[in-house]
Amino acid sequence: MSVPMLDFVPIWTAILGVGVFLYVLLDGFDLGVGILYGFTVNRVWRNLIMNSIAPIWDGNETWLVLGGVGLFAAFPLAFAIIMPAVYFPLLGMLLALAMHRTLVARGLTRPRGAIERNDQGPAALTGPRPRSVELKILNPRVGRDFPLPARATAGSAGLDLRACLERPLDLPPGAAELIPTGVAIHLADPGLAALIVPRSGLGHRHGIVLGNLVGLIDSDYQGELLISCWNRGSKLFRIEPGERIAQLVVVPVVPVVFEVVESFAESPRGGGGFGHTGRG
Amino acid sequence: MILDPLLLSRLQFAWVVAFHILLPAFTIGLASYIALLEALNFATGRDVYFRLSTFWTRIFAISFGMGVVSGIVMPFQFGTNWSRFSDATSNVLSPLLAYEGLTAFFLEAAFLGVLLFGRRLVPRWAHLVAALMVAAGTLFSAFWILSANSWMQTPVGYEVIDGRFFPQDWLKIIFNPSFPYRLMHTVVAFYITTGFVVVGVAAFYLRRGRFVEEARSMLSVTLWLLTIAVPLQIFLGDRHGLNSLQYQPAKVAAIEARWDSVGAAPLTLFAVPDEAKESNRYAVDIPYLGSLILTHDVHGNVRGLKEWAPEERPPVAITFFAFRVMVGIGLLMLALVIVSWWMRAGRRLYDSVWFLRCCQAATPLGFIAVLAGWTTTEVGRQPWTVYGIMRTADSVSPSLTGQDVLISLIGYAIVYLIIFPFGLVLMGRLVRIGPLGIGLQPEPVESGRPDLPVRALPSAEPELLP
Repeated sequence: MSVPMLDFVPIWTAILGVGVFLYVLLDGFDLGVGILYGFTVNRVWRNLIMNSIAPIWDGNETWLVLGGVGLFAAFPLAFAIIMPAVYFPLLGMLLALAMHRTLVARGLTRPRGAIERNDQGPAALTGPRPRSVELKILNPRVGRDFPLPARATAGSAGLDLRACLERPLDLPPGAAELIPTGVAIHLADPGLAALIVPRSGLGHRHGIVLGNLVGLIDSDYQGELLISCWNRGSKLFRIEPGERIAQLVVVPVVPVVFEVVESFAESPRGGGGFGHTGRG
Repeated sequence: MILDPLLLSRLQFAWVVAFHILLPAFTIGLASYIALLEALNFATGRDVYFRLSTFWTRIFAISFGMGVVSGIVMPFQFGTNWSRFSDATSNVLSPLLAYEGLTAFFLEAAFLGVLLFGRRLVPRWAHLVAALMVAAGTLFSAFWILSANSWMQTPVGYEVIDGRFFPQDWLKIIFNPSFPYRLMHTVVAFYITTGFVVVGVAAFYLRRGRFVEEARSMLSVTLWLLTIAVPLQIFLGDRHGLNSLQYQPAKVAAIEARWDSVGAAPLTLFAVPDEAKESNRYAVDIPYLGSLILTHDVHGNVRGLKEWAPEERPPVAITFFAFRVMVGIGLLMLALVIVSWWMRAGRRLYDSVWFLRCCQAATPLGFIAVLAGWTTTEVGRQPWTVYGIMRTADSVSPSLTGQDVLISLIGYAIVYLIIFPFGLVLMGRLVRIGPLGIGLQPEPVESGRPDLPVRALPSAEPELLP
């Protein structure tokens, strides 16, 4: 043969070295994240931690398979000698990996406790840290058949409220109905209030707004959140069970007391009011 | 009693592979089902397919993760417990496993993240491609691993030099005589297994009146697929059997508990094979049917176990019963599929309580059949690892003591008995939560629109009106 024989030993040594190195580097990241997970109590952060490895852990682990099968393929005699020699360390590693993966799988399914938080992942890092507000589930369908009030995107201000209905409800033009949400919240902090406002798409396209235009939830209100749905449009609208019908925005409140005075310090606007700045 | 490292290693391999095979049996079918749902959603735009795909993808994530982790254990078993086998066969087998790693695992791993988490980050067509790639990856995986297994059953295309196998003809090795039949029979079995899980979950929802639209779609589509797959599987099983009769007659003799070579062999429906006396007790025979099934001729000659020396025969009772469990379940499945046609014709598919109850009860059948089938083919291969050439007894690692293997076997037993029920509970929880309550928004409008912090252009979508 005129083709010079390649020496496969250094090539395969390099391939195996790269495989094992990438495994240590990449799955080391997974495993480190797993350790951090154990030290984190905040559920929002736990979910974030889990989500940070969720899309990639399988790829990271594949390098270990490459290392093992590569040794088997390129250096079978070494494989046959080394593997039985490290029988118990290898056993420990495989069993630990199995346990680790199972816990990752658990983190990914977001069991009941985890779904009850309306966290949406990465925004929790950059945005303000979510504040904890007590929520009571009054109808067991919430959290089972449809999710808890949640933000549609990470940057949303409002949490979508869903119609907790047993069957679809037809709302004829002009009619208003009080629709239960199946949940109650207790803000507790007098510095907070919650506003129930219409969803833009429903209001604009279908004329579904609120009977009281804006609902105000005081910080000491503990009853069920009820939504007055008003069809101000010209067509019948069917509300499906679990449909998002309004949104809840929690806003800060500045408590004020009035101080009675004889006159105000003069402002440039003065008493100019309705229509003062032009048509409007 | 002296602990035998050979027996314990065999038990350990049986334990880890039995648990492992349950997961591909589910994920290979489920990956294809998810790809089908994604394609249907892409083609028809119907929301129900979107919700179902999202739902099953969550369950897939768990079963796939468990499949990966129990699969990683497998190649290391070759090294730790079967080092002499590894040393002798690596030139033939390890490239097949390496191809599995390169074509299947990396493909799956790369696209799995997109499938699971990219719904809102990539366009819809790219998500569909990810689903198709993951499904293709699982099938490539089955291709290579079954090629390796089939070569061990029907070795060809090699030469033996100094006690080691060296490849001569790769095409012959990959497409060895039993491979096409084993591949088709196994993949269809996995599809059927998944199909009955989907049908079972659909029946569970229908009986409780939950997620009715989703459940109807699952039940209807899957029962149509099973209508094709179950009869096809029975046909493929027959072809696979003929292939085994040609290349592994001792296995077939054990499957049939046939001791004497006869023309016009009966079919033994039930018996208790007695290996010491080389005969069957309590046999229930149907004359001529054995020859008819095996040779497609009522007078066809079937070789009996007595043609082989006792130390070259596979364990008869396990092979015999495992095969009957598999075939029995196959017939049960066929019956359920036939009943479903009748139900569909009478428009009672979604309402008949007893039919839905049967569907629910059928959920685990596929898994039992897969285990029974795998037991049949693997125990029936004994006492060989490479059929007719290398004995199982000569394959085990020489350095192992019985105590070592006992400790590791106990370790695997404990860990698997924790993680597998745990995974099952997690999947059960996802099933109870159902397609809507997963915390994802069910509206498909979320897909195809990158969820980025900055939007380059002002959007005209009404959702974003102030």
